[in-house]
Amino acid sequence: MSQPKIDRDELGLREGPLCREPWESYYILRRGILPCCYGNPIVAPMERWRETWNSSKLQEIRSYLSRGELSPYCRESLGCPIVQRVLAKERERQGTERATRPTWRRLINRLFFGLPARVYRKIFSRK
Amino acid sequence: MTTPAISFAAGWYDEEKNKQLAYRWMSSQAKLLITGLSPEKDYWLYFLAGHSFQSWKPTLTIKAQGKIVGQVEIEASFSSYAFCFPGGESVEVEFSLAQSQQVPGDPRELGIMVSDIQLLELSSLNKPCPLAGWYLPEQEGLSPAEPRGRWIKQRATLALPATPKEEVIIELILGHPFSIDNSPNMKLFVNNIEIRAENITGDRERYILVIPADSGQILQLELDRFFPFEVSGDSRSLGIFIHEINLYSPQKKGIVLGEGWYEEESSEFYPFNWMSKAATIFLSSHWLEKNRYFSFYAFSEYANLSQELKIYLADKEVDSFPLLHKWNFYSLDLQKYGLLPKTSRSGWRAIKFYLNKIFPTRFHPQDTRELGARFSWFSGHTDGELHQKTSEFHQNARLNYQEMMAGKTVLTSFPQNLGVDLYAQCNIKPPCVYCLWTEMKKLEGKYVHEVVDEKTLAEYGPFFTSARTLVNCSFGEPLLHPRLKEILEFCARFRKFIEISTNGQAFTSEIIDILVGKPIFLYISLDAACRETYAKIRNDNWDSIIPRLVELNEKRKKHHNLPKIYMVFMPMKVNRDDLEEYFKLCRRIEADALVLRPLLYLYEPKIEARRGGYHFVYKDELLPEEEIKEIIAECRKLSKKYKIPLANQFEFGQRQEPQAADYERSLVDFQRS
Repeated sequence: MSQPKIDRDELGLREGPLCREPWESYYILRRGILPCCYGNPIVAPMERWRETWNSSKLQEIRSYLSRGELSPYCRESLGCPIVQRVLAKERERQGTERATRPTWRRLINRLFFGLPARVYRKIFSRK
Repeated sequence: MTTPAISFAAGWYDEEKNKQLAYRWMSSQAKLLITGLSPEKDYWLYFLAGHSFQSWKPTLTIKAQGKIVGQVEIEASFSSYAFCFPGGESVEVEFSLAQSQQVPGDPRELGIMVSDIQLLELSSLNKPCPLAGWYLPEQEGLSPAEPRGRWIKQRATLALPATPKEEVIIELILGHPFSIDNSPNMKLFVNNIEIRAENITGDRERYILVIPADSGQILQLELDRFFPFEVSGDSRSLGIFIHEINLYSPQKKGIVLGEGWYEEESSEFYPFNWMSKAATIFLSSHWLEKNRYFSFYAFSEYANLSQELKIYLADKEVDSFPLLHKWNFYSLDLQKYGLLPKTSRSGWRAIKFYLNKIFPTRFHPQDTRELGARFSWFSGHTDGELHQKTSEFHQNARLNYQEMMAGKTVLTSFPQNLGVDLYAQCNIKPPCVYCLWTEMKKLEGKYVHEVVDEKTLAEYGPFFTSARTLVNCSFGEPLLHPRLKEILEFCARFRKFIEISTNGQAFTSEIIDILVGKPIFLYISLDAACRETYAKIRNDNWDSIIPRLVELNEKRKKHHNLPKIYMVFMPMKVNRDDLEEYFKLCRRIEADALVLRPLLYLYEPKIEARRGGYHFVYKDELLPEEEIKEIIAECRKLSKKYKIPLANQFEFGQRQEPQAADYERSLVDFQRS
């Protein structure tokens, strides 16, 4: 008998954009308007709070996040723990990609050049 | 009019005492003389009786004025007995036993021990009163934390107070600690008419009875079995344990939670009640005369708005709406539902709540109850503007969620959290060593003198109305705002949660009085657990801060424990050794959580300061990732050790599933993401 399928996100906690802040939050501060508390730099001066909510900058941020990606603005907001986590994952992925370079490349290196792995890594990482 | 008096006539021995009560032995025959009675009324003779002969169950016959009014077997353990007899100016009551006992060395002829003889006249009772079938109050309840309850036998009676002009609600909290296989069936009768039957399975269950107006009534509790010694380990014939009996009069109580609600529990916000899938609320006619709107806070565990609350009035659905995630304020227009007070007499109107789905049991495996959603702070109001704004808030929250899930980039909805900048001046000069004060003041430019107060918030229009939480993010100390009281009262009127970060140096008795009782979440940034570390980060004012925090905590206890106190700790090199002491400090001031907040990451910062004999270099204070992980792990251990919930803001944006046992969970309920 098959087990009933469990909805792993039945509370709806994981669905939605990469970060919800630019939909759910908005900061009208003296130093300027921010789409989230970690936002950097400011997107508009304080007095423009009405029009900035749907400004092109916020639209762009929402557009990226709804696709599960960091916007260029988010990538500048390095104080944000979400950004830090995504960047750390990206770094990790890049590291893994290097570690698992294609077998043919490793074979060529061994046969023709006999270079130590660290030298080989340096050459390819420059590329 | 004379007061009834009871005097002991023939057949009673002198009073004796044991640890629990004072009593008299009677011989096989004994008499009481009762005077000062009204011939027009009926009376109940109540007493406790027992004896010290384990396997003996003598039959006691009670006669009043020569007529038998009752016969009952008396068991060894003290329990209550009650008999009704008609009044007269003077009544002689006779106690007679068919047998008596003799104890070696005691010349007396011993019958039974009798104690606490009382005369009850039902029309003069002002609270429910146990009659027959009750054992003595326990020294402790089923658990040491509970107040004293009483076991009843297989049958027991309870006299209800006279309520000739109003229907009352009786709340019975009862249960047993034994296996579910032994659960008895209980029938309840009022004046011999069966009103309901239940199987009692839990150790604490609530039963609500609406009792119509009458001048005197008897509630009978009848079980189909009792717990024998083999099950209970108790020589008494235990029926069920009565934890509490509460009576609610519509004149004195406006809102009573009916069945479907569990007992009140404490939480990170305010005491709350879990609702099961369906539940009833009773509103008194007096309350309905004064309130048009019924309001409450509700917490849904569902973040996708899929948990729906339906409102029924007399089995007719009158409203339904999705519950929002986490704690939110709700206001229901009772007039729109046609719920009007009963005009003829004082009584109750019931509204029923029904949830389309419950909180899945896999999230609370240790708690076997059927849990629906949490509710808190039931009250009424007449503020039409508050109701209107609350409706707008809910419409917006739903639209905001839909637009976000649809990936809309141009929004017709407004944000649910509004960051505000209340005040631009600070009382710490020079600024805290890590503060970006100079840079921020340059950025603020001409806006540094901009006044932001309650009028500004009102001008934000839908941005304010749509906000569930207002978050103050000023580079300045908000508690210094000259219109702090007005701002907080304005926010409280519209039931906004307010998050305020403070350096803790602005507290005065006046400011504390403004803060208490309001739904404010105070983030108090000390980052240090001792004078020395504090001086390295801020200044020498450490000694004046802690007494104010103690004062704040003491005062808020009288105001529903509001505001909430969140103690902020940003781990840095300078305070690395203060962590455990900071937890101790949190415990001392009974903080609601310790907030572990990252020092803002800056790319190659050039911030340095010499303070308190310490050279603070920002980039050196940013701890490496591995060390932060160690600190988080340490905090989790200390959180459990000191019973201080941990709010880990390093996990900002991570939407974790609820785990009831996890100490870190309760605190995130209020965090915005």
